[in-house]
Amino acid sequence: MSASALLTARSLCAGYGDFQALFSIDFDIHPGEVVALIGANGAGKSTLLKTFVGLVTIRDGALDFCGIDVSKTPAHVLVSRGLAMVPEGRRLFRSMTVEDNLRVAADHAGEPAAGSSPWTLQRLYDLFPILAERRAQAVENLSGGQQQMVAIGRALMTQPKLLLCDEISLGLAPKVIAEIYDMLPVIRQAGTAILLVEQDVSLASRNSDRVYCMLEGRITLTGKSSEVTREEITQAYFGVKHEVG
Amino acid sequence: MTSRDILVHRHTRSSRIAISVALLLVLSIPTMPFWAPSGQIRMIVELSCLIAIAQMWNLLAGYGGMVSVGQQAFIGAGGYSLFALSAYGGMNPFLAVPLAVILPTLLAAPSYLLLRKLDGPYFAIGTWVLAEVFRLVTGNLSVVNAGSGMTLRAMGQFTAHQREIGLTILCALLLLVTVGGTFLMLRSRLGLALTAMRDDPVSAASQGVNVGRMRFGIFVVAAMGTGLAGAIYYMAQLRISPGSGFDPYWSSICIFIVMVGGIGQLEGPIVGALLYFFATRLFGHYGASYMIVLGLLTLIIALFSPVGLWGLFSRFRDWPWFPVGHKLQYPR
Amino acid sequence: MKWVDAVIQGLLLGGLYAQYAIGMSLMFGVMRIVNIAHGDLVVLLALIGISLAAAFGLGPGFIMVILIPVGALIGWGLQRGILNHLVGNDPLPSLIATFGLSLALQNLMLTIWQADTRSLDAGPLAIQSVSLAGIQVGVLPLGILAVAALLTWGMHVVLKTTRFGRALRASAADRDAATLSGIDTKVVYAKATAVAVAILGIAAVFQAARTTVSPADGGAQLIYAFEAVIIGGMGSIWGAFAGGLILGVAQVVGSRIDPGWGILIGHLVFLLVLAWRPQGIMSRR
Repeated sequence: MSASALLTARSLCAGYGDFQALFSIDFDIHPGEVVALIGANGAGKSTLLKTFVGLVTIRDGALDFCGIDVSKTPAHVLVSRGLAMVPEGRRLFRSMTVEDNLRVAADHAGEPAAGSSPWTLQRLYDLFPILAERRAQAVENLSGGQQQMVAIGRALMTQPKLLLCDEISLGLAPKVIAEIYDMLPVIRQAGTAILLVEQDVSLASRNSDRVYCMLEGRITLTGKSSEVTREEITQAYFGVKHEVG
Repeated sequence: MTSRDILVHRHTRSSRIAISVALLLVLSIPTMPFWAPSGQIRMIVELSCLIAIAQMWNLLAGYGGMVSVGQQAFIGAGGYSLFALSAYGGMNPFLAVPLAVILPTLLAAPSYLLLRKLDGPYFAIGTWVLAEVFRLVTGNLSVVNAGSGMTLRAMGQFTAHQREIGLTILCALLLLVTVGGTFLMLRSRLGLALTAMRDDPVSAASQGVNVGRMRFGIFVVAAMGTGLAGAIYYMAQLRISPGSGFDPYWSSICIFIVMVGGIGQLEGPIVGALLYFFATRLFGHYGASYMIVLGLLTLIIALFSPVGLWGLFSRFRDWPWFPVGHKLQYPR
Repeated sequence: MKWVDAVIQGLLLGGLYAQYAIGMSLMFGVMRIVNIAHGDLVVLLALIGISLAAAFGLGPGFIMVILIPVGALIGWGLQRGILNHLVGNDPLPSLIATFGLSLALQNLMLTIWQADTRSLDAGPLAIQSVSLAGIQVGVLPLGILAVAALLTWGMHVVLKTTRFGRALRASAADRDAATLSGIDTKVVYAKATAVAVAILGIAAVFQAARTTVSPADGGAQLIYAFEAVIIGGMGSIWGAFAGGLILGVAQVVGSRIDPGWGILIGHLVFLLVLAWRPQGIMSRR
C-alpha cells in the first residue's frame, strides 16, 4: 500500500451485531483518483462505505485515512478531517430548505484540502444553477435529480478530501444521471478524490480510473477500469471462485 | 427423513414441572381458609392481584407495544363498580365481581379510540390524563360519596371465614383467567400474531396481521383483567376512595414489576411481583428511601438490562415455565 | 365581564404552561424523548430556588439568574448521563427510565424538603396590578406571559437562524445524515436538554412565586406541559405557546364555573382536541 494513499483498508472485517458483512477487505484510494466499487445487491458495497465513514463498527483489520488510524474515530470527526459521504437514498433533512441543508454541512466543515479553494455556497450554486433558483424551497419539493444535487452539494460543503458516493444514480432518469456524472470531473479537478458505488457497471467503468468488484462481503476483482475485461467483471460480479489477495 | 419424522413439542420438561406446580398452587389457594392464618391469606390476595395487574400491563406493553401509565383508571373503575353494584344493586358482592368488569370494558373502548392518535410516549401520558379524569369525575360525584370514598358494607353480612373463602376462590379464578388465559392465548394463532406484532409491527402488518384491531383488542382485554383485579383488591380492602383507587402509584408498581421481572414474557411479571411483594414487606417501612431505590432500580434496568431478570436468566438457561413456542425434535 | 376576566387570567396562567411546554416540545421534536421527570425538574429547581432564597435572603430575580445555569447543568448531565443511551427508535426504554427517575426524584425531594408546601416571596411584585381596559391584571402574571412569549420567539429565532438551531433541526430530521454532515449528535442532544431545563429554571421561579410548591407536584406539571404541547400541535414551538394559553384559559374558565372543576375542564378540552383535531390546533397538517 502506497504511503501517499488517502484511504487504506487492510484485512478489514465489519458487521452488524452477530452478522458479519465484510470479510478481510483490502482497499486503497489516492488523492485525485476516481475509484468505482461495483457489485450486486447485498454484496456489501454500502456496508463498506459506512464502515469507512464510521457508521459501522470495525471488528478486525486496519483503516487509515491520511495516514492516521481511524478505526475508532467517531463518524462526525472523520467528516471534519475530510471524509464525506453522499448516502444511499440521499437522506436529506426534510422540512428544511435547500440552503439550510447546505448550511448545516458548512457549519461543521473541516479545513479544505491543501492547495484547493474551498467549496462555498456560491461555488456550489455555480455548479448546480438549478439549486440557486430553489434555495429557499423545502427539499421534499424538489425532483429526484435536484435532491441528488443537494445531497452531493451537502457533502461537498464539508470540504472533503475524499467523497464517497453511494448509488447516486438510483431512481434517476438517464438524462439526469448524465448531468450529475458530468459534474464529477469538476469535483475531481477541485482536488477531491471520489469513490463511486454503482450497480450499473458500464457507468462505473466509464467514469473511473480503477474499479473494485465485491461479492458476498469480499473483494473479487480489482484493476484499471480501462484494462479490466467484460468477462472478468462478469465472473467477479456474479461469482466464480476468484479472490484477489 | 421426511417432515413427518420430525416431532413438534410444545412443552419442555421445565414447563411441565412448572405448570403442574403452578396449577397445584393456584388450586390450593381456596383451601387456605381452612388451614392458613388470616395474615397469610391477605398476603396471597394482594399478591394475586399484583400478578394479575402486572400480567395485564405486560400484555399491553410487552406484546401490544403500548406503554400505559394510567392502568389505575381501570383498577379504580373495577373497584368502584363493585362497590356501587353492591350498594345500589343490592347484589352479593362475590357475585358482583364478574359484573364489575363491565364498566372498565365500556370505558376502555372509547379511551383507546381517543388515545391511539398519540405517539408512543405521548400515548403513555395520555393514559395518565384519562386516569386523572376518572379520578376527578369520581371525586365530584356525590352518588359515590365524592372524595370521601365508599365502604363495602355488604361484606358485613358474612363471617370472616366466609369472606376468606369467597376471596380465595376469586383469587384463584383471577390467576387462572389472567395468567392462564394469557398463556393459552399466546400459544394459539392469535398469540403468534401478537408476538409478531411485538417484534415488528410493520412486518406483522405485511403478513396480514391487523395491527390496529389487535391493539384495540389488547387494550380492552387488559382493561378487563385490570378491572377484575381492582375489584377483588378493593373488596379485600373493604374501602375505596378516588385517591386510592386511581392512585398513579399503581402504575409505578406495574412498571417496576414488569420491567425488573422481565417484559414480553409470561414468567417475568410473576418473578417481578414476588420480588416487589417481599421487598415491600421487608423494606417498605423505610418509606421515601425505599421508593428512591425502586425508582433507581427501574431506571437502571431500563438503561442496562431492559429484558429484566427473567430475560437475563433465559440467556443462560432455557427453562421456560410457560412455553409459547414450538420445539422441533429431529429423528436420530 | 366576569368571563373576560376569567379568559385574561387564563391567558396569564397559560404563560406558565407555555414555559413548561417549550422544553418538552423541543426534546420530543429533536430526540423523540418525553422526559417523565420534566415536571419533577420544575419542582426540584423551585425547591432549590426557595431554599437559596431562604438561606441567603436573595430576591426572585437573583434566584432566576442562578437557576438558569443550574437548570442547564442538570439538563446537560441528564442527557449525557442517562438519556443519550436511550435515544433511538424504540420509545419504551426512555419512557421507563425517566419514569423511574421521576419516582426516585420525587422521593428524594420528599426526603430532603419534606412534604410541606413552600413558596417564593416575590415581594411587592406579587400583589401589584395594572389596570388594562378596566380589568385588574397582576404584574407578576403579566410578566410570566411576557417572558413566555419572549422565550418562544427566542427559541423560534434560534431554531431558524443559528448554527445550533440548524444542527438541532438536522439531528431531528435524520440522525445519521446529521452525523455525516459533521454534527456530533450526542452534544447537540445534550445542549437541547440543557436549554429545555434552563427554561424550566425560569418557569420554576414563576411557579414558586405564583403559588406554593411541594415535592409531589411534578406529575401535575408534567401533564399540563404535555396537554399544552398536544393542544397546540407537536413539532411547533408556537404551537406549544398557543396550547399553553388555551389550557390556561380552559382551567380558569372551568374553575369559575365550579371551583372543583378547573383542572378537569382543562383535561376535557385536551380530550376534545384529541378527538376533533389530534394533530393540534396550530399544526399545518
